[in-house]
Amino acid sequence: MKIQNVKLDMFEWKGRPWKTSYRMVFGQDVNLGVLTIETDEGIKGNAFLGSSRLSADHHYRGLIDFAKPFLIGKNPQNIGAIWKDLWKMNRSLSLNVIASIDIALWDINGKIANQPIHRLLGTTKKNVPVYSSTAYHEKVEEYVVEAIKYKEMGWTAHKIHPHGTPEKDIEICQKIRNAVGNDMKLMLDSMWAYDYESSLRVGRAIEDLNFYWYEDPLVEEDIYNYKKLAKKLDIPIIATEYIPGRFYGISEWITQNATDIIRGDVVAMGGITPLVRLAHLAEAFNMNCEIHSGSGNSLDNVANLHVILSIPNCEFYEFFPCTGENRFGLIEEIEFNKGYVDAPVKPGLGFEIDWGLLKKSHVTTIE
Amino acid sequence: MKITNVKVELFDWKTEPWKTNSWTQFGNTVQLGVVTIETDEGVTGNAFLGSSRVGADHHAPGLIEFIKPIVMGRNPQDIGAIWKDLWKMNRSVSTYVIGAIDICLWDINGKIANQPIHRLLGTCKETVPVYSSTAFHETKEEYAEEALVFKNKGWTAHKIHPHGNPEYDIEICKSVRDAVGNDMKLMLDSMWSYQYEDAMRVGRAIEELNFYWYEDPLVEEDIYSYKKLHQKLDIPIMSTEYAPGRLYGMAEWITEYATDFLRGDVAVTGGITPMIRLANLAEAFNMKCEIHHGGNSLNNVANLHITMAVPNCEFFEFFPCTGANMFGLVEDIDFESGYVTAPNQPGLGYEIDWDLLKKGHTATLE
Repeated sequence: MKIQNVKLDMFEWKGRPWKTSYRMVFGQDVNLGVLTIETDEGIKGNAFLGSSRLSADHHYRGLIDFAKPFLIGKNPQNIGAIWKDLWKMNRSLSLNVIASIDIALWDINGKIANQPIHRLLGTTKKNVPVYSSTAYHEKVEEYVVEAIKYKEMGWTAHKIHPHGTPEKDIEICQKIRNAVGNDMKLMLDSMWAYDYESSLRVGRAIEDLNFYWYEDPLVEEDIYNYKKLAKKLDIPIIATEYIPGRFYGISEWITQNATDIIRGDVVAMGGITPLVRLAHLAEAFNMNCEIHSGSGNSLDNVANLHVILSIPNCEFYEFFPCTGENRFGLIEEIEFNKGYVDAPVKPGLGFEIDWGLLKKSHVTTIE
Repeated sequence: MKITNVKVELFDWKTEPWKTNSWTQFGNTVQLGVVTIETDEGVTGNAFLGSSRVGADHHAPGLIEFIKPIVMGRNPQDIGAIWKDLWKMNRSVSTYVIGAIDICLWDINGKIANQPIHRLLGTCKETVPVYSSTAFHETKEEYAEEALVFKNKGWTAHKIHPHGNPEYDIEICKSVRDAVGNDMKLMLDSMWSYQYEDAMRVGRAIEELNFYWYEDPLVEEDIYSYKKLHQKLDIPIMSTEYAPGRLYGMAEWITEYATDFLRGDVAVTGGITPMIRLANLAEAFNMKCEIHHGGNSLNNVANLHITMAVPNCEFFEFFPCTGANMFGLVEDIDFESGYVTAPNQPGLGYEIDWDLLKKGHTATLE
């Protein structure tokens, strides 16, 4: 089987703007790219390109100029071989592009096998609990209302994206803990906001509040201070989502004991291929690898879900219920059943693209 | 889909006796086990159990008594979930048993998908070079002769299993290097023979002889001395094949810089599932994971799938010195060219020679 064509259809993706911090705006009007890899035997693979923050038109040139000529004629089932070569092009191609190609190849592989992708990789679980991950809210009360809503729905875990101001962030955490009581798992994702001193203060505060993990308190390059922080704090630290080098940058985080939990997603790591490897690395150290979500799009979320179900050491699926902007372009989206997500059962990625909806806002096709 | 039966058939496996050192005897007549996992939809998976040293009769009773009840009724495609439960049984059954069950499940998974196993895992390559791995020979001349046979066939790499005696091992390495010249890759596998001091001496000697790697010079538990050795020597050290804890014992070998390569196989590490993880662990440290031979034909096939599915295994290991590792398949892996190629049939993709085996059937356990 050979790859015959690689093309990107772009569609307007209109959303209500939302934030993960006061400065990071998602939503608004962007373009969603739908990547199609066509083969000489008729089987096609798809992936979405772009997020509600970073539109597909930021990425398509690399895809078409650099990746496409390299892919044409290759066997789409040589996924590991192709990924290795794509990774070497990461100075010319964004990881979003590398990821979307890898995901489309896994989609093809699953369709050839007539199996969901997680089945190809040796399924580890039937379902996984979901946690709700907040957007940025102006007021503490809004955070509280949102957390209570999910607690009342029976969800068991909830993650806060606060303001990035240590005092305010502690206040948000306190109010939410007071509101939901002690039997909901709470996590804080400070999104690289603090310096070491503040990160230690906030860390001790949320230890007192019985938080479950403490995510990205420091900037992602700062392994030096992560190591200091990890030595001091009892609360598990989770980092590495955006670290330099991604999968190949992880070794020092492990050997230096700079984090307790490894983290990544299909977009940030560059595909299903490296994300599975990342989780396997963590497993050898008896560490969890919690899969991030929400930086991408609906099909990225689906790809993340397949990875979660095929690795032994991811506890949760992350979901941003605060906004619809990460969910666009599929006929049916991932469903949450009493706070759990079930394993996909259809071949490949297993979620059908809503071409009828998308075509109404077709912008361009590049090939 | 559900697992409806697990059985082990035992067959006489007669071979010439052979050794990997002066005291470890392989061959004679042992029992080869063929494990079959049956499902309610008719798809079955197979694996071989036992090696020409440790027959399947050492392993089969535990498989039936402890493992069968765990897997009956399970979905055979829940491989990762089942492996996790099997691993927890490793105080009651050997990794050979865990490996055999895991291989059967991957065979089923490949057959369901109508794809070779390496395809399920995202193929990284379609061919790798083979190295010839010696048996124990009495004299250094025999080692040199054997190496020449493979050099003359055009093979590019050759591994020596010596006597375990530092002085004589160095002599063997010298005579093999003299015989084949400088353009054949040579490796030494001392099979856990030396103490630190001798390991240093032999290591320096084979550095001089331009050897490619230095395998298992010290006993497998001795991370303390491996670390010392590794700090001194330039030649890459390969260890961890039998490291305690297997995949879950690797962490200190990495963080302590006790080896340059990771190593394992489906029988010793406990299946395709942990082998893939082991290789991926190594890849994160930009290390290779060289896969050890599997002890029987179908284990070697499983190793071959892994070799093709991971980015960081350079060679396929083959023991041409004896037929003892090749038994029970209609066609075995083809090594003749010095290269092996990716299997292209569904599942493990190599047919069991039931007609041959049935002539020596001894028992069926289920």
